[in-house]
Amino acid sequence: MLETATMAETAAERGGGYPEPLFILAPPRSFTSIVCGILGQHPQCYGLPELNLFLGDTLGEVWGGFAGFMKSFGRDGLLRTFAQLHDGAQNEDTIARAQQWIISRSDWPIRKVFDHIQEQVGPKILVEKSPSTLFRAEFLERALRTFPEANYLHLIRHPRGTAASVLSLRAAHEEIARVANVPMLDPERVWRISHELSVTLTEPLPVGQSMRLKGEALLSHLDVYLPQICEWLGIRSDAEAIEAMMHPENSPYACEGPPNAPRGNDPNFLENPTIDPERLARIKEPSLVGELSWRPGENFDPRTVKLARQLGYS
Amino acid sequence: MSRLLDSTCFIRAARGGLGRPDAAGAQAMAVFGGALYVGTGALAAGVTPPPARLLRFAGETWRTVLESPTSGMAEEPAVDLRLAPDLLEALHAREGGATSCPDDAGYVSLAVFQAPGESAPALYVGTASPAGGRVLRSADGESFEPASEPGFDLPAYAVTALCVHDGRLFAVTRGALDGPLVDLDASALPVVHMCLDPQAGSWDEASLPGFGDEDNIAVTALASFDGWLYAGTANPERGFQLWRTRAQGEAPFDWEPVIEDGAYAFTANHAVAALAVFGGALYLGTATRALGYEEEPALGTDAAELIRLDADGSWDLIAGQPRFTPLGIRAPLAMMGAGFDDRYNAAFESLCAHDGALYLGTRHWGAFAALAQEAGPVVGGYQLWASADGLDWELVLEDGAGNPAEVALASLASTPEGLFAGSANVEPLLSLAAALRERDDSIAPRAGFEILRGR
Repeated sequence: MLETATMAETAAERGGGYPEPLFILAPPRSFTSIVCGILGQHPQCYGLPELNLFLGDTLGEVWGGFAGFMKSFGRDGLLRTFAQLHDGAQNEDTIARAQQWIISRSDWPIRKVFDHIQEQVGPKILVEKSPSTLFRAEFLERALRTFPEANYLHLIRHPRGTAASVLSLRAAHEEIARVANVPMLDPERVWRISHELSVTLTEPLPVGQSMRLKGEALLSHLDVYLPQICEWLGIRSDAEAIEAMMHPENSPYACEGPPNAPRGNDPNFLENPTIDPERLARIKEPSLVGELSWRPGENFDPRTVKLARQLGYS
Repeated sequence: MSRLLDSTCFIRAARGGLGRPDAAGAQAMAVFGGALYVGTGALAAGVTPPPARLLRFAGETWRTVLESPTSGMAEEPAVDLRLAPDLLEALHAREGGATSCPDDAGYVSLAVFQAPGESAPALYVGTASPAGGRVLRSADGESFEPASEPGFDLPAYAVTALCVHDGRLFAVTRGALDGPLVDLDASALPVVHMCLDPQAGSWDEASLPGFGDEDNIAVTALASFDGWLYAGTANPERGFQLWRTRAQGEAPFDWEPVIEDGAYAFTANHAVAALAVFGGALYLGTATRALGYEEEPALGTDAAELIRLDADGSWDLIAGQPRFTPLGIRAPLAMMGAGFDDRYNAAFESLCAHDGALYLGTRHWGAFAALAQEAGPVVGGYQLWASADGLDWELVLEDGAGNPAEVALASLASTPEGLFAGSANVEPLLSLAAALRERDDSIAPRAGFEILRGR
């Protein structure tokens, strides 16, 4: 067990028996949904959908924040979480009640919101993975300020693979393409800025509080890396626990939600949350060298290449 | 139980570059014939360097036993490609009238080796020269003869490591010359050279270039451990590699990889900086790409790490960033992060077992980072650490022992007279950096290498 796990236990003793949460830091299309789904099925963990809680200081700021993002589908994870935890089910009625609950508590600080979720879940490690945490430095800074002793998993994916996945999602979902097909959201730029943020802001954390992991390596060798993550978090790594993690489809959030909150996770994951070991074993890292499919005639920016190499890609 | 040296045990055995303040480094040390030999060198900064000297310390007295001639072989001084242009320009402006360039700018590696058939060991010196580094040999420590061609017939700036293994002498070069420019990150040919006949100066290549990996741009360190010859590389694409061979059969030998991908810290662990055997294990200090005189670190550039390798090829992280690896989780056994929890320790540059303990010298650029601030004390410079068991480490010396220009401990040597530690001094660069920042009044760095003795 690493020092951080020991620290988390100590914090848990101080804070009423609750362990520190685990936040997965990654930009969109970095395997966060499947990884959060897997880790969240550990018997000592609880996987959450995307809460997007770090977009503001209060629940009200979060609810109305970040332009069209929250209003389009950014609220779904919060709604589904409260519907599930308050009413034990996700349907149009419970989602509507969750919305009322949220609106009537718009002045709640986000820490209080999270603590409320923790109380509902009980003494399990909450696992959260909102890519929006890396949309801006202030969001990640808020996360680190609000949860100074949480564990942070910096999940990385090759920039070419990430970009291909982004473009594929945009092509399949017109409503996403409408919002995202702008130069500022060029997939390479988003990849670089997000990971720069994560590298820079987690670097000062105590040794072991933040760990980095290639999504490709994890998913293609779950047997190698899942026990290591358990060891890091100081939780069971026996066969029963690992087997539970192999079934992210058992999460109440691993399916499309009711019409008034259908998302909260990656659409592809919601459509097919089951692990396909053969498909995962075929995951390969692409190359940093070569033309970009979405910017013909161009290659990766040297800054992207440098950062990607630092993260272990070639 | 070994006794660790602490700061009170050390005195300065030499200072100010021993009469040459422009002698920047005490680059290499070896004990030969009962005396300590120290090779000195200069910064490859494009200004005329002082002649390289080989110093002998015996009876509490220093004596120069070899000083580079100035024969015209080296037409102009080498320029380190990595130096910032503004610093280079300022250095040149400071230089006086043109003087002749010595043949050798440094004596940068030393080894004691007794070749088969010889009656006594000889002292071998690796040189740094714009005309190509070579190996010199001396049977008596007084007179020296060439034992290789300059640069091994390649534009190779310096012979940076010499290693005796299984009755043979091995060498590597670093610094790829292109006219006066030298790329000190790379080697003209990243191979391990093996001496066939030192007196005839004949050598063979003991490895394929880069061990077959073109991203290995230099072989940076050698060590003999448990019947294997180990070689560490610099690899800017994926991080350092460590290879080993039994060195049997025909050269080039069969080598096998032991550690790859910078021990899974990737390019943050750019190169192997130092290797040393201690307590039945091989210790490996890494280097980042930081030079030791930047003002800001590159994004995501972690500090140096310390790794312990067992004879079976398995390894543990002693100090560094915890990480998930294909071999299992690696957390620092010393419970210290990269750089011994000091981000300015860019390299664990020297390692040496002495009197039952392991000592480690760092390269530390804190003074340059401090200059980048508008105010505040300018502190920084090498650190010396010690451990009795390789796991628990204690800080022995810090801040360049009081001189922020002493950025690194380039050499360590265990002798019956104590532990000797030689520094690398960058006073010209630090003073100019201070001037460029209009912070001249903040520092008063001393020039020239220093040698400390602890006992």
